[in-house]
Amino acid sequence: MEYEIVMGLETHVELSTNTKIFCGCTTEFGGEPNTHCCPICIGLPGTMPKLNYQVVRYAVMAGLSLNCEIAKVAKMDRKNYVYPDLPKAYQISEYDKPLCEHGYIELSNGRKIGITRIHIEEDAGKLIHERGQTFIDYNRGGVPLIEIVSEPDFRSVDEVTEYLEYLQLTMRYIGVSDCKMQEGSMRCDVNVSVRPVGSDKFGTRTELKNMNSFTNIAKAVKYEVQRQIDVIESGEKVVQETRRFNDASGTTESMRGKEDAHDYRYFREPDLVTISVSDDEIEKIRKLIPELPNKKISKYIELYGLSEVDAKLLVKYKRVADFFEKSIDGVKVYKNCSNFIISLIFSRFETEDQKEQFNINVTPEDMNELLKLLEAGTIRNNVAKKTLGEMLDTGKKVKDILSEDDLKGLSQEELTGICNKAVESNPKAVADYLGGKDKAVKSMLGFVMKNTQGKADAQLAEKIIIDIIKNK
Amino acid sequence: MVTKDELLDLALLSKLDISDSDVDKLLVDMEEIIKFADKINAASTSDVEFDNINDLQNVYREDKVVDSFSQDDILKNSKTVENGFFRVDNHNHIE
Repeated sequence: MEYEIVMGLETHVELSTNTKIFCGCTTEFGGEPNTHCCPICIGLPGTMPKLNYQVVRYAVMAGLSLNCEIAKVAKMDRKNYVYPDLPKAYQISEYDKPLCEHGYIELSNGRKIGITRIHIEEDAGKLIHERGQTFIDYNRGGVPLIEIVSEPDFRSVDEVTEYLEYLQLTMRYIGVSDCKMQEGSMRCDVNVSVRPVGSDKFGTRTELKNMNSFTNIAKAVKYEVQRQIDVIESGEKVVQETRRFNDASGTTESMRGKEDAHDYRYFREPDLVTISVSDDEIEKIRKLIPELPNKKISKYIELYGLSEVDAKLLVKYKRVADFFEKSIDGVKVYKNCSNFIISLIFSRFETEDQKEQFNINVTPEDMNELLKLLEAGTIRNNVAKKTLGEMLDTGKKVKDILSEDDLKGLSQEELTGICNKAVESNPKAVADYLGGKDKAVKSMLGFVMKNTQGKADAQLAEKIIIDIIKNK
Repeated sequence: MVTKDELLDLALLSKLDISDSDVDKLLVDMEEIIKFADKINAASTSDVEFDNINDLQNVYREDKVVDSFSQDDILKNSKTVENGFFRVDNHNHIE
């Protein structure tokens, strides 16, 4: 039988606020254990949470960027469960009145993935299990999160990957999170089920956890889908449960035992008041949202004439896109700039993180100057490349590297003069050319390049040389 | 009526070990607690819009970092501490 995959995603994104959601402790990653803590975030009795407004602002920004409606009235609730990562034995989250609802993301295949809701909540502490004991660090406890819940709209692993990449990119663009899966600032649980193709009923789902990269998510889902199909084909039933991805074996394993305890007994958080974001405030927040990546990509393709691959490569890193846009101010040939960035600058970086940081010696103004010299024909492409290389190496400015002679460029008369010399001093090459050996021009071209220190336009020079020979 | 099953379920959720001899006494106590809270349900609220007792909304804090407590102070109330971590035995909560 043929099966169809049905998936839904719950994505947790840690917000880049300075302080935790309910207290003034820093949200900085790492640090000595239990040094970013206070009585509020370790849940001592008698302490009162106070909501960080930046959390609301960031969540609304995320909601607007994902086409959500922003709730007129939202509130926070206690989600009760007893586990040492939560010192209060409840997590403050949002249950029935989340801040954002009914959004969507459109995929490149035209399908829309519904966003059911986005709510704000506090992160739990970090547990290290060792020697039959558990060590607890509450530095992460109380760091603000948004949970982005999708509809069960995914039908393939590729759709999941594209959605997550888009989500990551969007959150980075609007600046609400760095979304680093390795550091846990973006985490994703996937609900997976299969059903016979053509069926409109959902199969029994399992929830996959513990995947810290897009590759692992794809691996886990592929494994789990095959496992469920095997279960069904063997005449048994898929059990609804949470399964943990095992990175080493590439399989998923049951986390049974926690399951029977899934009764969170939500109730309103009595220590926090209602959240109500006014229309004015929503409009103010909307204005903070920069041009989103999908808009940028189409702009780069349609307006700047870049290929889709190049456009996506530039837009993938916000700092790169910013650099590109500033560099092409007043420039006509945009492709020069994208080529320089992709072939000359990216090749200097080894990691995605370095591209993300885009730490280079060259300012957009420097790049702009270089692009304009190239475009005006003052310098040739090879000179521009060499110059950029030196700029990147040394941090020197264009004018420090190129001599006045370089910047003077080469006039048509000068070039013709040198081409004449090339023809005169290479009688053998001329004879060869006239004898039918087209390649003989190259040796004369070599002469021209040598005598112009590479400044000559090779194509133009070749044309001039041929004209001279023919008119002799 | 609180049933024995409900009581045991709550105990499980709260990670409490309850012996059989405790069950009967706890059932009576739980019953009393629920009855007490039931009084709230008796109040007529059909024409009342109620949010919270102070009718407050949008009480926020600025996103400004303040000093955290020292590690020593944070760990002070715990009996079992190791290398800056709180430490608990797994049998209390193991998955």
